Amino acid sequence: MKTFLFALAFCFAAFAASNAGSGSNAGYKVGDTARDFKLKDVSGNMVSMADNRSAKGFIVIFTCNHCPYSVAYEDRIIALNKAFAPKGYPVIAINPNDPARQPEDSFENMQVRAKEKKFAFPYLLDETQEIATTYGATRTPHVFVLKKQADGTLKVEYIGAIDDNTDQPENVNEKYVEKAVAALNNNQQPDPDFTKAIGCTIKWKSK
Amino acid sequence: MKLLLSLAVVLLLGAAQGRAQAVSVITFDQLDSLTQSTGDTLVIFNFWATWCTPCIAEMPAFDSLHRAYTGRKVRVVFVSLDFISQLEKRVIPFAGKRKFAPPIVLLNAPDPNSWIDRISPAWSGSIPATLVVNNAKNIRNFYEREFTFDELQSIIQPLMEDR
Repeated sequence: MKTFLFALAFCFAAFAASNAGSGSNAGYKVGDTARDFKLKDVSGNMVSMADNRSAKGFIVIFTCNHCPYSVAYEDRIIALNKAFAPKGYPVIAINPNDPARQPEDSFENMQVRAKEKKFAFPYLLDETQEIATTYGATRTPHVFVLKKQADGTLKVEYIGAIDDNTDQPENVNEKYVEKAVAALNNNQQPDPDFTKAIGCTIKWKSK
Repeated sequence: MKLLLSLAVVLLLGAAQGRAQAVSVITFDQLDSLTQSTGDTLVIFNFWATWCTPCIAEMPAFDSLHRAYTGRKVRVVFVSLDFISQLEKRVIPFAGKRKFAPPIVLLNAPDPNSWIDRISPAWSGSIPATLVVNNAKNIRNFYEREFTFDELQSIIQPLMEDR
């Protein structure tokens, strides 16, 4: 009987674990609490969002070196940080790609690119891909705007694209991220709070 | 409309194989119409771009499928998501070099948030992505993943059976 109960308990535990697994695969939705991370920056330092006590929130952008969509947005990412870091929302760029599958996205090449473009924000390597998986990032660039709550947790306020025209910055009609952060700074909800965009698939490690 | 009709003829009935590969530029509404007018042909829309390594890697599988099913109401259409500014520089030279049998179109639709859900709400926006449609049989299946030839065949075969 004891064995049976134990087996039963084990079954339930396994079931619960498998459920938790499928839940986390879906990634974050707007309104969820985002986890912090501790990832290696191109400077060699480990960076967490908790390190930045004065920030009101963060513009977390999954991006990389090789993807033409990421490259097309590089200057706009730099401009976002320049405009919104002073207003409490600095950019944190995270490269989620497996360098074994995309050598251009290696840590060394990230260092080269950050230096070339004079990134004034952290450019982190998500070596285990755990953060991209937990957040539910699927492509680069993929943006998550987080707002710090009274208790210090980080709430997901916007997920999606930077704006509505990757190829032609001069023809952008909607600056989604800019609008979202401006809304948050006015104590309003971003609208839209979720957009889709074409991007490069994240290069996942082969399992 | 006339352009759309001639496009549909080229895409669905097929251009002469082996002819120099042309790339037609289409709007989202035109693509949308194509996905609504397949009739009883299984049309496989494969979304790709010249810069997308996994896309380029799987294109030969789609090409082989298109050739293998010649005359059996299965067609592939390659939908390039390259920027329109890359048409002359990258897409046309790529098409010329690879000589794939399926037609290639370039989708010129800059605001993806306005149309990704109209292809499929399941699409997050990464490529490669593939839409399989047969309007007559009410089939509209979407896949945000990579395919090998065998994997493609295993999703096509069940859709070919009468039902």
